[in-house]
Amino acid sequence: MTFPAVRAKIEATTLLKSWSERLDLLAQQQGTAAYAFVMGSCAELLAAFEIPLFLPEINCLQTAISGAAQGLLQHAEEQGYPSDICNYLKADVGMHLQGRQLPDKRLPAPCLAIATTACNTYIKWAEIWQRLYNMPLFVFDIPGTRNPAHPSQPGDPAFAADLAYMTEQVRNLISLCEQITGKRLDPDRLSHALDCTNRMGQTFRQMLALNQQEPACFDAVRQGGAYLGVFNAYRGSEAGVRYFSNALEELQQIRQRSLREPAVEAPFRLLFAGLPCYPLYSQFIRMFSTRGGLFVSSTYLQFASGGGCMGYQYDTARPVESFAEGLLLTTREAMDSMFLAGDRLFEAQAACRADGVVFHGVKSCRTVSTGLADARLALQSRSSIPTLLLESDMMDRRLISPAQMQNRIDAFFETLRLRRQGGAP
Amino acid sequence: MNRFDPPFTAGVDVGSTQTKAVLLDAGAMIAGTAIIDTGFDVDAAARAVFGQLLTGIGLQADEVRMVAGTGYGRFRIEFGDLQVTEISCHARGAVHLFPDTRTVLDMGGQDTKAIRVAADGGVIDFSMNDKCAAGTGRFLSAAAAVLEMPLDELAAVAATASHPVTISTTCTVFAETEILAWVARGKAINDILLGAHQAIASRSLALLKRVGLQPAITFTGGVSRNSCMVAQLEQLLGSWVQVGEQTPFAGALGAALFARDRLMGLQQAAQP
Repeated sequence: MTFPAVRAKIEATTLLKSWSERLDLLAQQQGTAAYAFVMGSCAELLAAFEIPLFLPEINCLQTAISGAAQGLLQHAEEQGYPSDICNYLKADVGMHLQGRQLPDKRLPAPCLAIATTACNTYIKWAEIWQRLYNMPLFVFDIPGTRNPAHPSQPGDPAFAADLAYMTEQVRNLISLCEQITGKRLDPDRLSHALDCTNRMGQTFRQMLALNQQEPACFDAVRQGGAYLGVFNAYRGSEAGVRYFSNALEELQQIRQRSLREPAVEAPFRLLFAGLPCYPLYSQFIRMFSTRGGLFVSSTYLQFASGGGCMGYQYDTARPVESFAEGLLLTTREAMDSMFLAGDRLFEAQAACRADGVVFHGVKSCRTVSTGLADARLALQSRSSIPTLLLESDMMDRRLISPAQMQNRIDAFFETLRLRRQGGAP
Repeated sequence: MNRFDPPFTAGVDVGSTQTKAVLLDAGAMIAGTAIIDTGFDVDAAARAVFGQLLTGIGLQADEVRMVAGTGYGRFRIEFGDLQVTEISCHARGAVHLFPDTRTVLDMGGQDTKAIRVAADGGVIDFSMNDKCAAGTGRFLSAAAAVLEMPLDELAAVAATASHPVTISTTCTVFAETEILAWVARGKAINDILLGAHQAIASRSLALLKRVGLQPAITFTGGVSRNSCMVAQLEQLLGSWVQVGEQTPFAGALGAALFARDRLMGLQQAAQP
């Protein structure tokens, strides 16, 4: 028997709804927000300046889940945006071209956009906002990304240079925020926000560690998605700290119950690699759960939390420098974890005792899809663990064929079941 | 009645173009096969092919102790006792027919799949065409329709070609346009058909490589009857491709083997 983490899912829904409502109210009052991406969102710095944060990627995936995305994609395509570019970008542009109006909310215009060189599309996307709204755009140049052999690490001479470069960029962003708000940075407020993120991250890591054990406590795609949403939208806040504290407590209770009342048949423990299929979010997860599968771990939680659950602890006594160091390490880690996944996946599947690994490529992001194919080959060269490669999209329903997807999933479970019957390790 | 020993088990493979059935006896010997066009009524096709199978060997339905369904219509087979994907079934069937099989290429009406298999017929990895019929039997059907030729004559005509055209498109619908363009430019029919075969073989090779192609390779599914396709695959692979009379039935055969496994498991469980 499995015990879903219901309370944390409901609380996440409430918190994310509240976040949307605040943005809606802001839009109604002609207020503005900073637009940032989950990797390198600078949430704590923006919180210190009391600049509201809007995360377009989260808004886009919400439109995919609600079914509103298709119209936005269509609208952008009608304006000439091609069918084979990032569908997050395209849905977002479609929304802006429609006046930032969604069926259930309005969204504020940007007063500032923050991007990083972690993803080329981020920069182009932010440049579109800049063209539409003529507001400042700040692009962090993250040194040392995609350097698998010798990434600079704290203590290295090269890291000192990288950190100095990052710190200078952070100081420039602080100056820009001071210009926008007319306020000086309050270091105490930044320290407090960083402390909140530290506590959220610590708890999140404990939750992920719980799932490495048997029996697992939550589905890393379903409940994991809820945890992730709150982590990104509420990082640097006491509300976020409370949420994760409650979520951990719930998982510990679930674990105790699961130990007292073990499942008749142990689920197939699966590691998920890639992005979720948001247009069919629940249906996609059910395709696995009804066959006895449970996602016990997900690479998405690593990179889509902006590396937030990797273990970096901000030094609140020197907030600006530590913020810069955290930004460098976590953003680099988040991006590299997606594309240098070969060794990491081998270690991750062993750590969570996975029975199989599911790769979900998204057709509108060539970088993710290319990286997944490469990661899968690297894993297969080191392990005979069954793998399944699915391709659909994180936004566009037209790129998804549920019947074909189910057929492949069924075949994957037939293989898993035969291995289990044959006593596969 | 016949030389086959009960209990009998059967597999029914409801494909997009044809529905196949295989009957196995107690020793996993193939006691009979049947094949019909699927048409639009999947239920009726499954019943009809099963009836044809029974008639052919002179059995009553209740003498078949377990029936497994496979293919895209497997969940519509009302008399089926279990359902297994065609991926697992083709793997199992191919290894049963050719025990040294390590890679299977199944080319059917609407999809083509490459499967890497273990010695016991278990699936190690698979890859399929994705949301497009280019590279499947449907591609050949489209060529036959455009050229107004019977499908079963394509291979013989294509085999006489000496200067095949290049069919560059990756879409079945656009391929029709491309074939018409070649006709308009005066290209010989056999050269156009050989080009179509080569285009499909080339796409199949890409699928095979994705799963880590290992010999021996067994070619299953309806298109495995096409001698020109076999020749093109062998040329591209530079190796022998295993085909036989029963390879179009590999999916149904695999299903029948899974039905047999289930029956034997139940019988063992029932023993004191």
